[in-house]
Amino acid sequence: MDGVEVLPYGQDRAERLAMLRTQRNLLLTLCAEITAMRRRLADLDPSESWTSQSQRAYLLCVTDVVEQVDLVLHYLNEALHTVRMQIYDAEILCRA
Amino acid sequence: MSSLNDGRTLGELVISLGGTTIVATEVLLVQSQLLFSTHTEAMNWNTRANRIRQMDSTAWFSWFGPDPSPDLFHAAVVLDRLQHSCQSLAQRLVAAAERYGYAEGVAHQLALTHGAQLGHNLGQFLRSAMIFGAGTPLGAALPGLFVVGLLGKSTGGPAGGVEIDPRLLTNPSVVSLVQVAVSSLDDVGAGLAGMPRSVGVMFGDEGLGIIGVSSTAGGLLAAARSGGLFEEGPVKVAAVGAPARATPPAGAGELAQRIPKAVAGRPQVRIENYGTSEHPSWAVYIGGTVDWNAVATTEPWDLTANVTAIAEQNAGSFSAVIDAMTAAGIAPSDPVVVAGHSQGGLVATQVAAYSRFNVQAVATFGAPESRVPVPQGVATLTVEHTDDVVTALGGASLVDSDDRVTVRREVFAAMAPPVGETLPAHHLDRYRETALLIDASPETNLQNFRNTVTGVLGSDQGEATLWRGIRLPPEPASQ
Repeated sequence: MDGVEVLPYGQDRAERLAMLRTQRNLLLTLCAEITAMRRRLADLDPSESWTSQSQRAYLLCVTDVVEQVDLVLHYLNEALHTVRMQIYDAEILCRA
Repeated sequence: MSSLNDGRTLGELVISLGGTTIVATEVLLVQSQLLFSTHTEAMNWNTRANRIRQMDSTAWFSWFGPDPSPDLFHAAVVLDRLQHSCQSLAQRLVAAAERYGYAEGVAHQLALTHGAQLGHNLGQFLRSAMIFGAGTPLGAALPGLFVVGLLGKSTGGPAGGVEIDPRLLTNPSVVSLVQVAVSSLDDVGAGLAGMPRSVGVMFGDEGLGIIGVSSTAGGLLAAARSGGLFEEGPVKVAAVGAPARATPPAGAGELAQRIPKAVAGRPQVRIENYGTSEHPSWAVYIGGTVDWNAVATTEPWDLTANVTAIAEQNAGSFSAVIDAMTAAGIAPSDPVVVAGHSQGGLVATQVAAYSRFNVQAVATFGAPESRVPVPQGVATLTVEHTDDVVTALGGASLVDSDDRVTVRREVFAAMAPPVGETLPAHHLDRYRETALLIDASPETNLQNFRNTVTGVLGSDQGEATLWRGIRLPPEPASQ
């Protein structure tokens, strides 16, 4: 063994680990940005002074937008969790 | 849109954007801008989520292991939906603001048209009274009583005849009425002269704009000057004290803060010099009316200059500012930011319209509206309190520019005006408070104005000099 184990799809374990770490870092940055925007969107609620029907409808739309952002964050966190598991597996295999 | 009315009740900032019919509370505009920003960001996040998914070229081979691809795919799908939701919601907010602004514009135009009709009818009534009552003492006295009444009210002093309740003058409805009334003065004159209404419509503010508030003020000047009132004269300016160190203003708050207060005998102009000797930039601050007497004195910031400026003639305050700018060494190509309060705002607009200086930004606080067109490309911030009657004395705003942002606020929306203070909503300190609210706003157009000011003046320290203008006695007529 020359220390480089080639995987069935032509990628060695070290390369794959580096790719997974990059993927994790990019996902972390993306999640942080979306979370920051979610905070700003959640602050949009002007309900104290808004009373009319159209304004309540607007607030429902804003709530819907925030829910969509929450859903995006949910999927991204799930993806992040999976990538972390892959990194864990890849690190064990690299050490072995 | 009751949100706007709610906002006005709370004394919030209401913003009108030049070149559009958009009128909205600052909160509403900030919301639409945030939603547009989220729309753009969602497109970017979508691209990045897809790119992250595509990084793992082995995903197709790992059928049985953990795989982030499905989650990333779903995130991209929801992001696509999110970007459309945000865009649609932001567009609907802007459309609501446009519709509100359009409705407000139509209502304002209707008020002006009816005011003009009423003014014309009043003029015709006065004319008829003069013709049919020519032989009677009342008929002879009527026009004189009308003019004396106008002048008396305009002086506002205790000898001005009618004492007006200060609380009345801080009522936004009264301010709107005054604006319509001032805009209709030319129609009173047209009716008095026996001119048909159609001629007034064609040549007045609502038509070609040949006759209007400025021509009315010009007529008033001509009439008053024969009685020794509103006599303009040459001015001279001089620097007061030694130059002091100054840091460039970072926004509307600091611009308003540096405008000299209207105090008799004090400097009326402050000029700041920034940049290098090769590339200087300047900030000019112009104070408001010092003397409200109709008889001109040595003070060029007086009622005479106000009426002269509204008549679009060469006011003493304007000449003093131009002389001070020239004496300070401002070259025609040097970029300049001008800010003024009350009459100072009117003069600031005239300086911007004057081709001798390269004015890049103008901020006016509580200035009467004028027809003076600020050149294209000059960032203009107009700050008006809806309960400040002085802003109505120039009549209705008829100048629309893509570069103009108008910010309105009702100062005494949630509290009673202070007792014993004349025109409290016009006070420079109240405009300074509003300017701080403007600086605290993340609204894009207000931010753009701040960026223009800081872009022109930079961030390096400079030098500030105070200037005082004095009106000289009128020159004797040449033989």
